[in-house]
Amino acid sequence: MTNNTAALSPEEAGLRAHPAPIARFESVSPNKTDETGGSRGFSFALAPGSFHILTGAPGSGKTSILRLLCMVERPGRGRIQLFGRDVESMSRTEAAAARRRIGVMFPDLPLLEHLSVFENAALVPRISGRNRREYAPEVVEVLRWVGLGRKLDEKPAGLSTGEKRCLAIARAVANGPEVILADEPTADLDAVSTRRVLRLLAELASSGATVLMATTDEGLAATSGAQIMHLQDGRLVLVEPASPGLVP
Amino acid sequence: MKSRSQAILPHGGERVWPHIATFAFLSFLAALLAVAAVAGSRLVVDFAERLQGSATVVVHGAGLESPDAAAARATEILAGTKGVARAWMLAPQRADALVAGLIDGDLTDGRLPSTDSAGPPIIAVSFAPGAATNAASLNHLLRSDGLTVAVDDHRIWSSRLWQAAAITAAVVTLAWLALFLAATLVMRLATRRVLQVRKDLVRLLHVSGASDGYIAGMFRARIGSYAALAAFGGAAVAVIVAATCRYAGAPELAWTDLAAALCWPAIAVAVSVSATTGATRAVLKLTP
Repeated sequence: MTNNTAALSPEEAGLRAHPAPIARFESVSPNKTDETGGSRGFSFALAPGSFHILTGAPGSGKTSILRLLCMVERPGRGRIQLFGRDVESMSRTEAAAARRRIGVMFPDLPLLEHLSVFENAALVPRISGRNRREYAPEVVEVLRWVGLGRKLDEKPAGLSTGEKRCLAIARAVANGPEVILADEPTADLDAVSTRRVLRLLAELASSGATVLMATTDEGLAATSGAQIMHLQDGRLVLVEPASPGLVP
Repeated sequence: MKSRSQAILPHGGERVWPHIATFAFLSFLAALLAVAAVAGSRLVVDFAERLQGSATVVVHGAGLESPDAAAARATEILAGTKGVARAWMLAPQRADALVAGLIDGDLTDGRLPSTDSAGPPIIAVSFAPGAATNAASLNHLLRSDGLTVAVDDHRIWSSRLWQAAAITAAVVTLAWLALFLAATLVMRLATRRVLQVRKDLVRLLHVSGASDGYIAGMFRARIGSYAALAAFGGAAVAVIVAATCRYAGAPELAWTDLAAALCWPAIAVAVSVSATTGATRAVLKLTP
């Protein structure tokens, strides 16, 4: 991961190219104490429709960045802008509304075992207060897209690990979010399922969503064709994609 | 795909039955207390009204005139007095029973004659509504006619009765307040328990963009349904107990008094809604 690398400043990370980024980190550190190796914290911007993969060793801060982005953690230092708003200035209601524009796939977010595949996928449209008649066709379409169209009424317990991961993707994207955050979405998956999950995320990016995925699998990231952001020694390093991979 | 949405909050596994059982017991006590308070209040008002418009006159013989002759004359005078609706001599047994409690047991040795009365004759007087006549004026009137009487003004009893009723009402209010606070505490604990059991779901909903109000509403509905069931159960048992008492020999208890028990479930649901909302929001405030 040393070739084609450079330390990122907000400008270098895409601010110039995309004057209205979906999300922007400015010298952000998850904690008040400096854990970024003496650097000034993480700075980067995510352009609309971009596909980024965040790599780094376990504990390097990948998950923290994702959690900061969806506002389930607050930064110890620095400034985060999301959808053009400073997250610190958002009220709880505004933060909840902003979260509904973000699809999340975190390993600690469970599927609801008592609900069907359809009801699991329809969770976010439902809590957004949308009419069931309105969102049901969209959810069914998303479930068909992830390959679960024939299992709408099944319970998650009856799904394979790969299918559960696809259901988590469906739940994350069913409400048409502008940003998708996926933390280790391919962990514990076989090669076929891994490619499938990666292809789905790439398709979402190509359809206009901003995708940020975290993984420790640098080989997978290198072949994905996505923009790679590597966390090393408390610094965020930009790695150019080695191959076009899956991203169109 | 089923046409109706399933509940996001799963049923069962919350292990809050001790809280709900406690809430049901508190509901039982509160409902029973409500019935007792309403019945007691009704009896006090009824009794006080009767006392307010009445007096008793104890007549003693004087000179050659026997007590019974003096009582007959006094009854005649009282019956013709303006402001007196009715005056009648109590039967000797009833008069003896009335004074029995007032006479020290040592003096009478606990025995009173059953046929020939040992006590003085007593005249009961009921005043006309709104009449200015009172015990003092009757006393003056009868004494001016040469009768030796003692007029008992029941309004003194009435004021003591009201004092006792006020103290009882204060105790009942405090007891209700204590039950109210205990019920609130139990519901808060039940909510925290459910939130603890469902913490993964709460985190999922929070991250997925559910507002605090949405999450609180979901738990409010669930805990509220438990509280409503427990409150109705407790109140139903209280009604059964009160009805049994009525049958078993408490005729003072009116059937309408039992309706007071039904006010508790409504209050209990309000308690539950308030406690659940408070507890849920307190927990959610800890999240960013």
